[in-house]
Amino acid sequence: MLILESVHTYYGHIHALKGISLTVNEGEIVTLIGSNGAGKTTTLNTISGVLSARGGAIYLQDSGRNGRSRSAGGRHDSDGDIRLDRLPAHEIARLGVSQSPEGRKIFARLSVQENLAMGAFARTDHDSIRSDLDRVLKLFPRLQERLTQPGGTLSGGEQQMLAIGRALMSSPRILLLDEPSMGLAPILVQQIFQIIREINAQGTTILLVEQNAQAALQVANRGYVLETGNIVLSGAAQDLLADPQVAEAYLGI
Amino acid sequence: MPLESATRAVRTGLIAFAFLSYLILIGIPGRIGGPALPVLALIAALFFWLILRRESIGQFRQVSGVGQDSSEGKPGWEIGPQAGANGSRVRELLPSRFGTPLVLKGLVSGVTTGLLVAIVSGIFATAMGNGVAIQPVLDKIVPLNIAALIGVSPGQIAQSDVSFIRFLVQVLLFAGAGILAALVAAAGRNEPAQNALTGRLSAHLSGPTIRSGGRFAGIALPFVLLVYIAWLGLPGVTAFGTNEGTVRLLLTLIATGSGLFALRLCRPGREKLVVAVLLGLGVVTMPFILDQFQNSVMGLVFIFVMMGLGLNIVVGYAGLLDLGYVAFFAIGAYTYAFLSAPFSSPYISSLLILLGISPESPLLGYWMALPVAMLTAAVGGVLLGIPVLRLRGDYLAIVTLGFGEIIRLFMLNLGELTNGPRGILEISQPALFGLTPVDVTFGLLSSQGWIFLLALVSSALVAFIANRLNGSRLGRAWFAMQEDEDVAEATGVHLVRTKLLAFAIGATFAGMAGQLYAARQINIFPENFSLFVSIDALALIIVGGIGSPAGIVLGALALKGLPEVLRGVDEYRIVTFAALLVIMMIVRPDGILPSPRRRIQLADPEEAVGDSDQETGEALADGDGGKEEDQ
Repeated sequence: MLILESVHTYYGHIHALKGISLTVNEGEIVTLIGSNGAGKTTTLNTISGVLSARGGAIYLQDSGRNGRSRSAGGRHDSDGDIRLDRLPAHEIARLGVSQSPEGRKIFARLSVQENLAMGAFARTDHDSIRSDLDRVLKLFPRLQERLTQPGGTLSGGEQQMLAIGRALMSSPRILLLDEPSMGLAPILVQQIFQIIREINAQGTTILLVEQNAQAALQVANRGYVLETGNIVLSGAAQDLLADPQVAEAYLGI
Repeated sequence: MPLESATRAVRTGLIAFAFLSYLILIGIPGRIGGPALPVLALIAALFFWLILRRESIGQFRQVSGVGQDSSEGKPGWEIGPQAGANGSRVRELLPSRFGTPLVLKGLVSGVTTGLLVAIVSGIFATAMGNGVAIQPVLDKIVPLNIAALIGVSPGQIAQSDVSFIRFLVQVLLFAGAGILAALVAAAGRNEPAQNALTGRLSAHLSGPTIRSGGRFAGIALPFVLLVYIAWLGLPGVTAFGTNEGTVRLLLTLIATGSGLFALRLCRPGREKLVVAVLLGLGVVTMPFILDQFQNSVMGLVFIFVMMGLGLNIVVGYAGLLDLGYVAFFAIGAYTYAFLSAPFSSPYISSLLILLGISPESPLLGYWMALPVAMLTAAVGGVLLGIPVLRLRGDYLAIVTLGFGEIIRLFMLNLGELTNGPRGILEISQPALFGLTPVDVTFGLLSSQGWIFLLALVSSALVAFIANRLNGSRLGRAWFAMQEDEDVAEATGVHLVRTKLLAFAIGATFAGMAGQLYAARQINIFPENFSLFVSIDALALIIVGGIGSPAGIVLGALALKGLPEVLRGVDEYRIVTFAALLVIMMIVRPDGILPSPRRRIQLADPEEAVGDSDQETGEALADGDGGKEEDQ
């Protein structure tokens, strides 16, 4: 459903992504692993439009669901896919690509409820927003207890839950999760990954970026290994887990 | 009394004396006259209270071991029924660990200050009694000043006026101030015991009856003040002998400000509604009972309330620092001036004659011109917004600063159109159905009163709109954008549209304010629209509390109203005012009445839970009364 074709992204003169190609199929969890500075977050930011690609193409398969394709106004290619790399971030968000950014970046001064409402900012279907809110709160009961509390007063784990919840509130077709386990206690990491499985089971496609390669590969269907802006390895998650090269470089075994 | 506590108390006394010396040096006692000494003592008491209150919070946190645990939202030191066990432990611990009663600390501080005041005024009084001329050296140390300080009737000081008893009175007064401050600080804690003595006293002071009585008094205060102000307006009635115009202005400022606090003291629901309606009625009577001078100041204050509310949308909600806000104020004012004043420019006049319009009569009346002025300002807002869309922080501030100056320079140099530095004269007054209310009310409403009334109504409207925006979808988008533009955009916020809307709406309000300002001034000149208008508008929302409409009204009262009251302090006015601002920023860094959102950001969690809330709680005698108003 999401296809990247040799995407190049630059920070000024720094060539951060040197031709990334990857595919995420409907219903999958795909993980991107790699060390610091490999370009994992850059990839997600390029997809979500926060950064713009200087070369290559990003396609989102047009499902025609919710009449969303209309908002992209004739930017389809011959296969009926939408080219994301030419769209501004807010329009990409409207197409159902939702990012839970690295370092959570919740809106500290807005209440939990308002944060979640911001997630649904682009939507106008009030009834399903309400049911999505119920769904998110069922997924994260802690947020239910803290609805009126400002986001900034939550603990790290709760903030991560809020960030994921906010991303889910846009009722995304594909969820981009950036380091959901960063800075969390091991028990919370387990919990978060459990929730990622649950979200996926409910039908959301997930592209997961992680430093914690072991945990990520355990929940994912497929994985890509990123090294200094290039994809060096890809395959089924189980195979990557078993790969001695990956084990040595990223699993610390 | 441990040495550490003693030194701290003495130091507090010294600082209080330093502050009082400043007041004495600029000649305040001489101005106040008879009650100078008690007034100074009260000022000292206020200072002591600020210090002691903080110390008692510190003590309490240490003992009960709460306050560190900031993730638990409930302030832990509120020892009430919910923390009975903890509370009793505290009571056992307190006497042994904090043997120094607050009262003793207050007493030491007070005596220190009192002794210093007595010694210094004694030296000056003795010198003056012996005929030494001090004035040529220290120009404000006039006999009048010192006489007020040692409590003798104004005039020359004789050697016989210098007596031990007078100095004893001074020391005792300040000692009393210290004790009073300690008692109030202990009572404000709302917990049982600091120690045996203050504990018992504060238990009385903070009992439920007294507290609800305080609440009632707080609500009644603005109304009492209003009646007093009305009474002062009757012919032949004077306040404290002299300068009653300024006194009435000061009382009006206090009454308006206390009205806002009264609203926060109310229980939500019917009580609040009733008080709000009564306060509204009260404030609307003000233009009728004040005289021309007070009305003109209050009119200006509320014009700046509109400015503040508008700028608050740009700065407080959307987080775009705009230092050129005066531009839109000027656009509104000049638009109205063009539409309603006879044209002195020959080009425009001949053009109008060509079109068959008489250049002598105004094109549009106030109300017809209002939408035009608002629209012009909004267009100005968008025009400024477009080039600065990609700028953030300092860069944005500098560019907007430039924009403000550009508009002023346009007005100054486009002589053919704007009459340059000679300004636009004889701007017509707002009328209602062709009649000016001044005529209709048979002079009960002065021309400035009418402006004040209009400013009141307009700012109420603007405040309502701003408040609705705060909780709206657009408001959320602004706050989200302020916190993180990238994330906001990634959640679907159209940054360009959202930013331009903030600029346009903010500018619209400034345009309204500018139009009213032009009507108030009758003649406007480019120098009315200098950078300082922008700075005033920004300062008043910072002082009042960014993001909080009630805070902005208080900020405008303090920044635009208070300097007029202080006019009596002639050349020291601005310095005094600056000192007040500095103190303000130390005592309440997030503004007088901060918005709940802002408080979270500025204070660290512990402060936010403990200090800030408690301060509001004390000022209002009711901890959570203010929450819902701003949200």
